[in-house]
This record gives sequence, structure tokens and C-alpha cells, in this order.
Amino acid sequence: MNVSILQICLIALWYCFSNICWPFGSMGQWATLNRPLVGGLVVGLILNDPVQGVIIGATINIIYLGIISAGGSLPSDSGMAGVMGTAFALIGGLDVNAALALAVPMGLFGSVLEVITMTGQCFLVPLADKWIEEGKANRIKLVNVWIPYVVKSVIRFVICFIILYFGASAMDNVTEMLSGRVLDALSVMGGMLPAIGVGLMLLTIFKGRARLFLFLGFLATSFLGLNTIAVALTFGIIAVLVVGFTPDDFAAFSNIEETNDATYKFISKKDLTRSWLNWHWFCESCYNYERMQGLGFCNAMVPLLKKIYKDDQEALISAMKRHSMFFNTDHNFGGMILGICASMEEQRKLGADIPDEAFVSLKSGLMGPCAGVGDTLSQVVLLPVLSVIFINLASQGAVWAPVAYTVLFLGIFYGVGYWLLNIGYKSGGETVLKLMESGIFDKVIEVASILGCAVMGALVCSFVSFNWNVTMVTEGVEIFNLQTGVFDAILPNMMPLLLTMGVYGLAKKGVKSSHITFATMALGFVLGMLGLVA
Amino acid sequence: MRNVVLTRIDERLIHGQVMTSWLKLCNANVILIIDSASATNAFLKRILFAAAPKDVELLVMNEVDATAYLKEEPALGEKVLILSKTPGPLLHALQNGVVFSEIILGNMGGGPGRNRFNKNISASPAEIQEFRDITALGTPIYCQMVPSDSKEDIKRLL
Repeated sequence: MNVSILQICLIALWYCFSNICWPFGSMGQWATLNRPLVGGLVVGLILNDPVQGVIIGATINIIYLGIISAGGSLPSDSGMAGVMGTAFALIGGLDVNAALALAVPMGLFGSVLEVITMTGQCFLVPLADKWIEEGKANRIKLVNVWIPYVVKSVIRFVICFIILYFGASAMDNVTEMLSGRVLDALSVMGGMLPAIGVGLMLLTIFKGRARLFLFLGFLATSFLGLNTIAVALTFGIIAVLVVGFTPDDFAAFSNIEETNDATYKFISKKDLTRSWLNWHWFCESCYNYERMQGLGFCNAMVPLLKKIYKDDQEALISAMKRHSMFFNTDHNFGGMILGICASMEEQRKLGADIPDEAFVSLKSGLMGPCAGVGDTLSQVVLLPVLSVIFINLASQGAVWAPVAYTVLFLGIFYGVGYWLLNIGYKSGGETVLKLMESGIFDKVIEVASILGCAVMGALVCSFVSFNWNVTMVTEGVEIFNLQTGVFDAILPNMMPLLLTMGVYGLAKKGVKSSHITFATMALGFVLGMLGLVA
Repeated sequence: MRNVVLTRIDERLIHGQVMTSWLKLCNANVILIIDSASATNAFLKRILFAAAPKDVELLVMNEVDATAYLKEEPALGEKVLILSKTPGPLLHALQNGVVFSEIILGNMGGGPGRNRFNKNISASPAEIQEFRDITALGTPIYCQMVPSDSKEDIKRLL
């Protein structure tokens, strides 16, 4: 396929756009536009082949199901893998498995860019501290949003353009070079790669009684031939039954009291909502190793603080200082903490005795546990479960699947987020604590673990491929076939399952995901070149 | 001496996925948090209990009580994971006869008075001195966020 400069520019622009946090927010954008599922559709549209783009993007997405951003460490850039993998596959006319083999190295390269970005942004922190000290509240947005966005986007665009420009012109030669056996070996390798996504996903959900359901889901697909959606629906119901809910579990929700009787004294409802949106948009626009979301939190608080302390410059400065400290948590629960802090600042201005230390201990006490619950709910429950359903549809060529996925994810995520913001502002930390103590989140997480394990079992059958190509032929008649005669006879899809469990075992031991990826690629390539696997 | 399987410094103490990966690696069944503020503040203590995995016993103590606890005889099958926000409480334990085979330094955030000296680790001059004192007592400290990161000896950074 011939590709124009305009098309290359559009793809590079899309990659930059999917990496900034506007308009869907930091987590919103990362969980939707940055997914290979969505990137595949967009690149497909740009290159005039949306159906193939969606199919390739969906398959690349499987490798990144288990990617969780926790504690600021992201092992791979799935956005880069999705955009580049799809683009090169469409330009070179490669099949889905060969596209996977190209996407993975691109993802690893992208994660290096991210480390450089987060290190570079540390240099903005002293600048922010200086402006806070001088009380220049209006410049927080400049240092937290504009400078990092412009610099990052320009660098990303240039790198993306260079890779695509030279990569595309090299593609013709590459596909010629890769004909025959090498291309077959790449396909074998690509067929094995989804095992990495499933294996890493298991790292977070394969525990307790949920473990059994991996094998049940596997058997349901392997023997009964159920597809992924059927497995998800069936085991979703089974999971709810197994975990068991009683009316008491939901008591904590119905007993939420609005204890804050001094709401909207200095700020309006609109102000609070705007600050909340600012938090979601820009909490990680200047994400850096020193303060993590610290500047993002300060940036979201500034409009509120300016209203509360409009006649007291000194109080404004000290408030900005206490809200620019190290902070890192789940985005939705972070919004809730924003609500708590807003109400505490108002009460302090009204004369309540709330020392600086109270803010520090509340924020630093809540951020870890909230990250634990929140990251798990959004990145282990919502994101993978929705992804798997729509990946399955997309891999059959449904071009609307990425759009439906995006709408559903954002709707649920921000619905929960807005509810949490109001709990934080109107009911305070005590209520949040009661919710966490009620155990309802643990039950939801267990339901998701059971459902997730079952679906992973189904995915192993439908997306990981590993078929032995060892036969014995006498006088033109095949007398022995290792795959159909032995493995398929005992347990169909046995090798994909073993491969996936191998990935899980290594990851559990603490082996780096990039090392596991390289090992799997090497294994696939060697077995493919030797012709042992086809 | 109690049977300690991991001694870790992390500003965020029990932090979701990061903690999950360490618990999975060392199979701990007791988490000991050494932090005076959390031990005396009822609200902070409740947050920690709400966040801790339900199948793990959680203890929250100040540095004096924690030192005494660590010197007790181990219970059958116990595996203790120690968490502290800063090096101070661990240094106190070491100076009072507790032995750690190594200390894993996960994350200490930046703020006024603290300078960044490694990827995600910032420390005040006093905390740097505590790191030096700990290593001088013969206990190695390694920077490592999650188990899959490679270990980096703090001696090369101080």
C-alpha cells in the first residue's frame, strides 16, 4: 500500500492526541483512545481500511490486557504498539500475527519515552515551587499543563513521523525479504504473544477460589465451543452466585449521610465540578517521579483556593504549598479526596481549627489505600472486562465496537467518579472509610476476579495459537501427527494453556515483563524457523 | 527474632497493586506497619485496616513497640512483611538489636526540604544520614519499586 505524507502526519497526530489527557481525562483517555482497539480503528480509517484496522488493533490489544499502571511504573506503551503495529501491518499487507510481532517492540520503545518524560518533568517542579512561593496562582496551569503538553507532543510527533516515514518506505523491501519461512516464523511468534497479555492479567486476578474458574472457562471454550461473550455472561452470573450478596452488603450505600452542613459557602457547585474536571484532565499532565500527581492536585485546587482565600494572599500561598506535595492515587478516588479537601478548606476559612498537618495526614493516609481499591476497580475490573467483550466483537470485524467500548467505559467511569466527588465533599472522610470497611468493594473485586479468570480461560483458546507440526509419513500416508494424534486427543488447546501458565509463573516470580516478552518471541521464532510449530 | 520476609520503605504504606505483587512474591501473612502517626491516629489506623488484605494479619505500631515485637520468638509459620514510611523507624530497630537481612526502598515522595536523588525517591538531609547509618551497620538498602524492577544498591547513590 502506498502511504502519503498527509496520512503519516495524521497517524502521528493521533498518537500525540491519544497521549494527552484532553478531552477525556488522564485515565479516560488512557483507557480508551490510547487502547490498540481504538487506535486500530483510527489508523484503519486514515489508511482506508477500517475493518482490517479494527481486527488488527483488537488482536494487539490482547497482549496489553494485563498492563496496569500502578505506582507510576508502566511496563509498555500500548498506544504506540497499537498505532504502529496497525499502520505497518496495513502498509505492508501483513497478517494479524505478523502485526503482533511488529507491535511488541514498538510498545517497549514507547515505554522508554515515558520514563524519559517522567524524568524530564521533574525539572518543572522547582519552577512550580518558585511560583507558588511568589503566590503566582495563575501560572500553575502553565507549568502543570501547557509546558509539558507542548514539549511532549512535539517530541512524540517528530519521533512518530520519523518511524512511520522511514518504516513505510522500508516496508516493501521488508515484506519481500520476509517471504517464505521467516514470515511463517513471525506468524508462529505472533500467535504465541497473546499468552503474555493473558498471563500478566492473571497476575492480578488468579487468586483464591477464582483460580478454578480459569480452567472452567478454558474447558467451556475448548470442549463446548462457547465464545468469549457467552463465557463472560455465564460466568458473570455464576460469580455473583458464588460470592453471594446480602442486603447488608449494600447498607453502607443507603446509609450515606450528608454530614457537611456548610456546603457551598465560598465556592459554587459549578466551581467544584470545574475543579473536578480539571483534576481528571490534568492530574497527570505533568506526571513526574518527584511529586507524581502533586502538581495536578494543586492545579485543580487553585480555582477553589483563589475563591476561598481571595482576600488573604498569605493563606493562599500556604494552601497551594500543602496541596502541591507528593500525591498519587486512583483518579476517581483522587476526585473524592479533592471533594474532602475542598470542604475542609471552606471550614478552615470559616474558623474551624484544621492544622496543615490534618491535610497532609488525610491525603497521605488515603492515597495509598484508595489507589489499592480504585486502581483495582477501574484497571482490573472495568477496563479488562469491557475490553475483552469488545475485542471479541472487533476481532470479527465490527467497526463500531471500539466506539461502543469508549462510550461505555467513560460513562461508567465518570458516573462513579462524580458520585465519589459528592460523597467526598458532602459526607467527608468518615463515610468513605465506612464504605471501605463494609467489604462491598472486596466482594465486587472477587466477582470480577472469578469472571476475569473464566474469560481469560476462554481467551487462551480463541487467541493463543500453538500447533505442533510434527508428523511421520510412510509411503505417502500420515501415520503419526503429534498435534491431532496426541495433544488434541488429550486436551485441545493444551499447549496455549501451558504457555500462558508459563508466562504467569515467570511473572509471579518477579521476572520483568519485557524479558518474558523477548523469551516468548525467541521461542516462537526458533520453533517456527525449525518448522516444529506451524 | 520474628521471621521477617521483607522489610520495605514506602511512603504510601499499603498501596494496592504494588503491595499485591510483593505479597504474592514473599507469601507474607503478617504486615507490620511501623509509623507513630498511624499508630496514634484512629482515623489513619482505620484506613489501613480497611485497605489491608483480609487474609493477612495487620499490626500498626510505633517504633518502640515494633522493636520489642520484632525481638520476640517467631510463631509457627509466620512470615512478616515490614512497612515504614521513612528509614528512621528501621534505624531505631537496628540500633536496638533487630537484624534485617536487607531493606527494600520503594518510594519516598518529594516536598519542601526533600531532594530527589533517584527516580522516585526523595529524602531530606536527615533521612540521607539515616540511610548512611543503616548501611554503616551492615544492612544493605536496595531501591526497587516492584519485584520485576532490578535492584539498585543505595551506596552508589548516596
